[in-house]
Amino acid sequence: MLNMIRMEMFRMFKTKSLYVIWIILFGAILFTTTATATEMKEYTMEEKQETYEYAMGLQEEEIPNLGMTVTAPTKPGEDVSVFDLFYANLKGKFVALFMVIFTVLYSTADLTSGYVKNIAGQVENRAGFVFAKAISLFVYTVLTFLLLAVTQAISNGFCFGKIIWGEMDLLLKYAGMQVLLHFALLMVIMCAAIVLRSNVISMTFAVCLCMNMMMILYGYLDKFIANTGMKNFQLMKYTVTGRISMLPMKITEKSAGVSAAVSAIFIFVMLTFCSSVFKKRDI
Amino acid sequence: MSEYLLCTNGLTKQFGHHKAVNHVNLHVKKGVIYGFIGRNGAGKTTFLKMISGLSKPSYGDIELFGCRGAELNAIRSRISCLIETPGLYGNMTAYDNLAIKCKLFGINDPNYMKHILRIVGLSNVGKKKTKHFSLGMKQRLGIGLALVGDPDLLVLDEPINGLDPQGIAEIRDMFLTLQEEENMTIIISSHILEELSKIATHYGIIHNGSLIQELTREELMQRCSERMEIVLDHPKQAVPVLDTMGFTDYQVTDKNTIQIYERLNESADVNMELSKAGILVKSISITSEELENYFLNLTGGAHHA
Repeated sequence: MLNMIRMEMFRMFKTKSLYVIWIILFGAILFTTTATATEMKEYTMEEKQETYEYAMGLQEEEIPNLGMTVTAPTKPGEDVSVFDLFYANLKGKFVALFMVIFTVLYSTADLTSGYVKNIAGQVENRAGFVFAKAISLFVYTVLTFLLLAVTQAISNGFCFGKIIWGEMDLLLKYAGMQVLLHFALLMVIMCAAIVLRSNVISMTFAVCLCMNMMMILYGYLDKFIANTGMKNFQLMKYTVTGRISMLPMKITEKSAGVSAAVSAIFIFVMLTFCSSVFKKRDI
Repeated sequence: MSEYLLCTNGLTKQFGHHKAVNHVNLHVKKGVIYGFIGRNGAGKTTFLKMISGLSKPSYGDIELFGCRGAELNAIRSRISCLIETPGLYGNMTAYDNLAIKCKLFGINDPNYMKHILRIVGLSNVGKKKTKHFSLGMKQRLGIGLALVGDPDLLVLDEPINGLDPQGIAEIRDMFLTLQEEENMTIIISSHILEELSKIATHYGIIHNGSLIQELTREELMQRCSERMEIVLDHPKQAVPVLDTMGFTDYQVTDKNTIQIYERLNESADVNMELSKAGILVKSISITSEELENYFLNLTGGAHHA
């Protein structure tokens, strides 16, 4: 198993798309930061207040909208912190979008290239490949978050002339929980990519998840559940993408518990299902 | 313990109603080069995938290194394969492609990877990405990947496809070296029969999913060599006559035919002695068969090899 993990890690760091997607992501972070800085300079106090209220309103466990928005939750008159924009980019699933694209490419590279034929017959338990990929993707998630924080800080310094981290304690808690949620999302995408064996379908599915397109389906399911007697049930609250959007800056115990539980369940189910399919499948 | 390194018993792979491999009983001894021959779509690749652990049989058993069933998982690392086209990461170098598989086997020695590249004749490719390789170079690297981990059984599906004549000769020598020096058992499927006949010591011929014949190189050469073919009603009656004449290298091949592989210029004497013994000879002729024709006749057509 250790050798499988070494192999997957080696392959991941040798994959060109890892660096290409990171560069594009960090370029995009710089772009959103620049756009926010421009808005902050141009907005009146009333407009800043509106933006702040909109961003804070979405924090209160409200269901997010279709599409993708990056709105800084900075109080009028205060400086934009690294945490503000770190939060805004994660909440809008802007970072998740790039991560899922890499996950699809990485998860299916051995299948599409046929490399898997060189190795799959020589291991005792083929399911190990899935777990090794999962561990590599966890390392990828952590590294992406670390690089994201650094890039965000540099972008803030570049666009606002100074780096203010915000409340470090809250930032670390928030980042930790988002790492878990993003990893769970990557497991969903990895599972879809391996099971479907189609980059196009998996990529479309991944992008739809990040753009909240599944809300349409969740809406129908919510109505169906409401008809059975469970009023005010919102499926979105129990999905990984929903939790990514709804996780507040000041994480409460309840919010952390639900997020951790949702992540754990998705990670377990996806890994079990995916490894079971991959183990039985003809290559 | 079985005398065979690989033994299949009724191995079958069914896709829907179609049996791609149908009840195959194949036997491979340790240290041989086994040529697996069949037309396109005969079931070669499906069979090789099953013994390589890439595909699960619908029915039947595989016995490898004396292990069968769940025990096979423990010896999987001893079998390596190159099935269909080589699976390579196009954006990586030959070295990196090898290094990935080496990591799986816990091999971190750069000299080992360089050694494999040298064996397959790719030591000078440098940083060239494999997507820019020719088909022959990819094939060589595929063979190199199959050699990682020093397997005891090497399964190669059409390994000389795309190689130039010099490349074929080099790879052929490599297989012979591996067999002789490493005592490696090699199963090779190929449609280039002439090349296969230069290295294989044993043969299995598959047609429409069924194994129709297994034979050694000697048996194959004998069947393809120049011979005196006598057609008569009761071959067994002719045996004492041939013995009296001092013939030792002959064979009763079916209920009407005797094939003699020596003293081919004495056909008139044979005819006379058989007639003297009251045995009616319907025909007597000197005949031979090209290797390719032999396979074509067995698999039923000259246009499909």
